[in-house]
Amino acid sequence: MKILDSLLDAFSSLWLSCVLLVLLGLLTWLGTLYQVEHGLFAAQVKYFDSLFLIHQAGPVAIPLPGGTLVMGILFVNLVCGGIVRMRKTKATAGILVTHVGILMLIAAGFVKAYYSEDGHVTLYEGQRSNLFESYHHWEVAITEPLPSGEVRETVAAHEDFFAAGPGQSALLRTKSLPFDVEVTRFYPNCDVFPKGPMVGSDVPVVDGYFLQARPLEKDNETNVAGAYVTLIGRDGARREAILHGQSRAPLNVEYDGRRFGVALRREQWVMPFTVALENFEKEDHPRMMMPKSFSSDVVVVEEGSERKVKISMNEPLRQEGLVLYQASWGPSNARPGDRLFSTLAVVRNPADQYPLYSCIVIAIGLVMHFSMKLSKHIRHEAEKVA
Amino acid sequence: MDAQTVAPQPRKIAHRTFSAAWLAAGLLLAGCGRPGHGEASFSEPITYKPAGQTFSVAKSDAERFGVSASDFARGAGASGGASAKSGGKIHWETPQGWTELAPTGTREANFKVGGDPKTECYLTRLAGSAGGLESNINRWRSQISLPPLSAAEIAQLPRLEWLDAEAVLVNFEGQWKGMSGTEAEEGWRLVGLLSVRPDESLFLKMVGPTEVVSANLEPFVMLAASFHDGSGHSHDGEGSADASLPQDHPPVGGVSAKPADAALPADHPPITPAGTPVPAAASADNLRGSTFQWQAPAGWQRGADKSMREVTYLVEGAECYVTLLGGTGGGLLGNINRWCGQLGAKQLTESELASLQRIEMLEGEGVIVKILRGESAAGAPEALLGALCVRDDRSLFVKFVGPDSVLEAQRAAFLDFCRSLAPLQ
Repeated sequence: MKILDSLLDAFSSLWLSCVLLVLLGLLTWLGTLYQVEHGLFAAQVKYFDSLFLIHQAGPVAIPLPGGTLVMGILFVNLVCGGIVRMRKTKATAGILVTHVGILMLIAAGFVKAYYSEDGHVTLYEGQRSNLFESYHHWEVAITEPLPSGEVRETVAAHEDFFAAGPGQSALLRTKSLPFDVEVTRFYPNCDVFPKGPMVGSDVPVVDGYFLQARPLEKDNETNVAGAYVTLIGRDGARREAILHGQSRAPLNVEYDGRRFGVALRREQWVMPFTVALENFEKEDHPRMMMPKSFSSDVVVVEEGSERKVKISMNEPLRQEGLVLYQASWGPSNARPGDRLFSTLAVVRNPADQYPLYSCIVIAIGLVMHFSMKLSKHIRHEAEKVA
Repeated sequence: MDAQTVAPQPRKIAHRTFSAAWLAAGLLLAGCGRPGHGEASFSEPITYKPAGQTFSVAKSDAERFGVSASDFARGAGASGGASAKSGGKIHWETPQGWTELAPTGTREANFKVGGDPKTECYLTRLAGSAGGLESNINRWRSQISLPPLSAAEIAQLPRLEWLDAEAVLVNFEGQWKGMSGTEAEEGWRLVGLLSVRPDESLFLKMVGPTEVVSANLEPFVMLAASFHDGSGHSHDGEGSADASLPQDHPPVGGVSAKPADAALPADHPPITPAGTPVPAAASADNLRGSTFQWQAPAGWQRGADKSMREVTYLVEGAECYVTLLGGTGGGLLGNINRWCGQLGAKQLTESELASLQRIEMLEGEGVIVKILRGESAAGAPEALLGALCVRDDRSLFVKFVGPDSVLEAQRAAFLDFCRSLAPLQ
C-alpha cells in the first residue's frame, strides 16, 4: 500500500503538472521551428508522435520526452491529482467537471492519433471510387482477383517494414497466402531506373531495374517509396522483385494456381459507399484568377440507392462515420474548359465530435466554478456592507 | 489542478516527479514499439468490389514502371522519330547535325548532340508526377553540383506551354557529377524542360560541355518545338517564355517568320512543328480567348491563332499579340531586357524601369515600355511597344511590334486594348 500511495503522490503532484505543461510548450515551440525546415509531417512524427527524441540545438544534442509520452503522463497526472486525490466538495465541483473535460480532450487526441483513418479520394469528373488512400503511409498489398469481380486483399502496414535495410529485413507472412514477402530494403523516397550500360548502381539490380534513393521531400505527400522484396513460396523458392509506389499496376505472381498482384502503395481503405464525381465547380474572384470557392457535386451510392450531395469547402459530407471535405483541385495550370479533378479529404475519426463535447464540459465546469466564486464574493461584500 | 489538491512534502517533490516520469515512460515503452523490421503478419484478408476500376496486373516490369525499354525498332540516324507509350504516341524532328540513337530504358527519344560524344539530349516520360517538379529540378541541380532551389525560386523559373501542358525551363552550369554522382566534369551546362503532370511527366534534357551545349541551343529549341502527338495539334512554345534564358539562347518555340524569331539566322529552319493547325482568323466570338476577353480596336484584324498566344492582331504591317504565362514568367525587368536583347537595344536598369509609364490593367498595374531597334539587330522589327502585367501566380504580356510610325499612330488604341483585357468569368 505504501508503494501505491507513494506512486499516487508522485503522479498527482502539482509540480509534475507544471513540468509537463512547460515541456508541452517547449515541444510545441521546437516542433514549430523544425517544421519550417523539414515540413509538417516530419515535425509531427519527431516531436509529437514520439516517446523520446533528440533535439539538435546546433552542435548540442538535447534529449527530450516526446509529445506522446508527455501527454500520456499528463493524463495520468490529471486523473490522479485532478480527480482521484481532489477533495470532492461543493466548492470543487466546477474544477472536477473542468478536469473531466480536459481528460476528454486528451482522450480525443489519443483516439484521433491511434484509431482514425485520414486520407483522400481524387476523382476526375465522371469517375467514381469506394476507396480512399493515405497521404503519408505505405503498405504492401497482396490482391487476389476473384471470379465474381471482387478482390481479396491482405496488407502489411508501414510500421512493419519501414526500417527494412541491409541486415534487417522484414518478413511479412500469413497463413492465408501461399507465399511470404520479405522486404529487404525500403526507401521512403526513390526512383526506379532501368540499369543501362552507362548507369552505375550500388544497390541490387533486379530484372534490369534498380531503385535510386532520393532525399526526403519537405512535403511528405510528394515522397514516393520503393522496396526490394523477395517472395518466398511454401516450397522455399525465392523470387526477387522491385516494388515502387508509382507503378502503374501491381507485380503479377502465381502460386498454387492462384494469381496475385503485389504492390507497394499508399495505405488504402474501403468506404462503405461509392462516391461518383458528377461536376466540379471553381469560382474565381471577380476579374482575378484566384479561386474564391470550389465545390464538388457528387453522387453517393450505397446499397443500390443514390443520393446527390454538394461538397464545398465548409460543407463536408458526413456518412457512415466518414467525413469528406473539399480539399483541393487540379491541375493547377488548367485553363477554362480543361478537365479538372477534385480531391476530397476523407477522415474516419471515432472521436470526431469529442473536442466539441469536451469544450462544452469544460465550459460548464468553469461556469460552475466561477459562479460559485462570484456568489461567494457578492455574499462577502454584502456582509461587509451590513 | 486546484490548490486543494493534497500536496506532498516539497523535498520529496523532485524525487517523486522524476520517479513517476520514468515509471510512466517504462510502462509506455513496454507496450509500444514496432521496430519496422523482423517478422510481422499480414492483416486478415478483406473482400470487396472496387468501384469504377477493374483490377489488373502488369505483364512486364516495363509496363509496371512505365518505362519503354522495348522500342528499339528505329535505326540510328533517322531524321524523325516516334514513340508510343500509354500517354500517346510522340513524334519529333531530329535537328540537323544531331544523331538520333535508339531509346534506352527511360529515354523515349535519345540523341547525340552535334557529333560530340559527351553531349547528349533525351526525352524521358515517367508515370504520374514522377516525384514532383521541385524534386526533379533539384535532382538535376545536384547532378551538376548546384545547391537545391527553394519552392519560391522554382516558382520564378520561366514557364512555357509544351506538349499541351505547362513546362518549366531550366538552365544550369556547373561541375557535372552524373546520374550516380561518380563523374567530375568541369564546365558543363544542363538545359532542360520539365513538364510535371498528374498522369505522366515529360523531361527533355540536354547536358554536356558548356561550349557544345551553348552552340546547340537552337537545335534544342527546334527539337522541343517539334514534339507533337501526330494529331496535328500544336505543341510549340512561344518566344516570350525564354524570359530568363541566357542572352545567347534563342526563343523557345514560336512560329516562323514572326518577330519573335527575328533574331534567328536567315537560314534557320522555321520553328514550327509539322501539322500545326492555323484555325480560321475569325471565330464565332472573336473577342474571347480561352482565358481572356477584350475589346478589339477599330481597324485591327485578328490574325491566325497561335500556340501560347491568347490572341493575335494585325494592323498596318504591325503585329500585336497577348501571351499568358504561369508565375512571374521571368519577372518584369527580365522580360523587358529580353525584349531589348531581341531588338539589339540597351538593357534597362531598375531606375529606368521605375520611370516607365503605368496603366490600369487587370485590376492591377501594367507597365508600358517602348523599345527601338538597335544597330546590331538588323533583321528585327523596327520598334516594340509592350505592356507587362506581372503577378506572382500568372503574368500577361502584350507585345506590339512593327514600324515605329504605326506603333505611335496606334498607341492609344494599344493602350485601350490592354486596359480592356479581362479574365473570363
